[in-house]
Amino acid sequence: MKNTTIILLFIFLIVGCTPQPMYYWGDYSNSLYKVKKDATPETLDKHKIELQEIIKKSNERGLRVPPGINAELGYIFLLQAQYDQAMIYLNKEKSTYPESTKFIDDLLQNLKEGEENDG
Amino acid sequence: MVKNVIIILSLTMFIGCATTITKGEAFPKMYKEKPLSILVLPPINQSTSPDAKEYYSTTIAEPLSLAGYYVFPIEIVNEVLKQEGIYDTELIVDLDASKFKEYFGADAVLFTRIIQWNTSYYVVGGNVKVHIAFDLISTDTGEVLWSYNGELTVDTTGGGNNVGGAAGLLLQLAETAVKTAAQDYTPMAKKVNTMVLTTIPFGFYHPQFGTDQSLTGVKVENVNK
Repeated sequence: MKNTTIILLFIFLIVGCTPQPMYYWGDYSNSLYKVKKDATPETLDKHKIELQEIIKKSNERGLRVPPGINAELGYIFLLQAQYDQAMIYLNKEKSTYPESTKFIDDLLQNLKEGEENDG
Repeated sequence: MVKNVIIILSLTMFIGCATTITKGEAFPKMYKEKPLSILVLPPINQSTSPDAKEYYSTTIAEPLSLAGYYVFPIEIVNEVLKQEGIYDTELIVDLDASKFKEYFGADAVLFTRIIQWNTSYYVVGGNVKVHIAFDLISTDTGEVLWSYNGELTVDTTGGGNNVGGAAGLLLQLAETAVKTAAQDYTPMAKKVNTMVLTTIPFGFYHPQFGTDQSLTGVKVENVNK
């Protein structure tokens, strides 16, 4: 019993000491590559799902969502005229990375103007 | 300190072997300015491959973020530039760097040049080569904060075969052609990115930010002039 405890503690120590990567990028670059190679609704939709997966896994692992991922998903929603969702994710980019504020605010301004023009 | 570095560099030029220096010695301006956010522009394509630019863009955000920098979303930046009529980074290479601060809020701009992204065939073999150069410019001062270039060559020469004579040679040539055509440049570009980015000082988000000045391995001849 005592030996098992020591071994388990040792394992926890090692596992605990293994540094977690800063970000979870998933299959981002391959997914985007497929869009570049062949831009179809299917590849774009798969890429959208990949972005959502990256966000989900990052949250699960207590990691910051990688730079640009929230924004990219927000932008896809923007292109699909889903303005509410677009705003949510663009604002998430801002709150995660305040240095993106000017960039995102400019995008949100364009979104607002786009919405007004469509409405 | 600087005098010693100059003496060592001069000696090396005579001896002709590779000099490696530390990150702090190579890129002092990075440690002074500590840029937080980087705007990555579409690569300048000096290669003969028209696809290189688009495919390369899919590879850079991840490793740059892992070096500790905020990277503006590249796909959106590309769209914004296109809407402004800027289809080629060549058009804005000489733009006052402070404009990137003004329009994007970026602390630094990364220019990448794809020098080679191509296939070479020689008498009985072939290879594929990717060569990329990086220059990080301060939007504050317009100066180069960090620069480096790296290349990777993959030999795609067909394997030895037991068929003798002309037939064997043709077989090898065919194998080379197939291997070379199938060689995907993008994984090579990723390897080049990783190699090159080992020399960039860690950014704000990196756990070892500000502690890496004495890390060595920066090859002087790979720092862009």
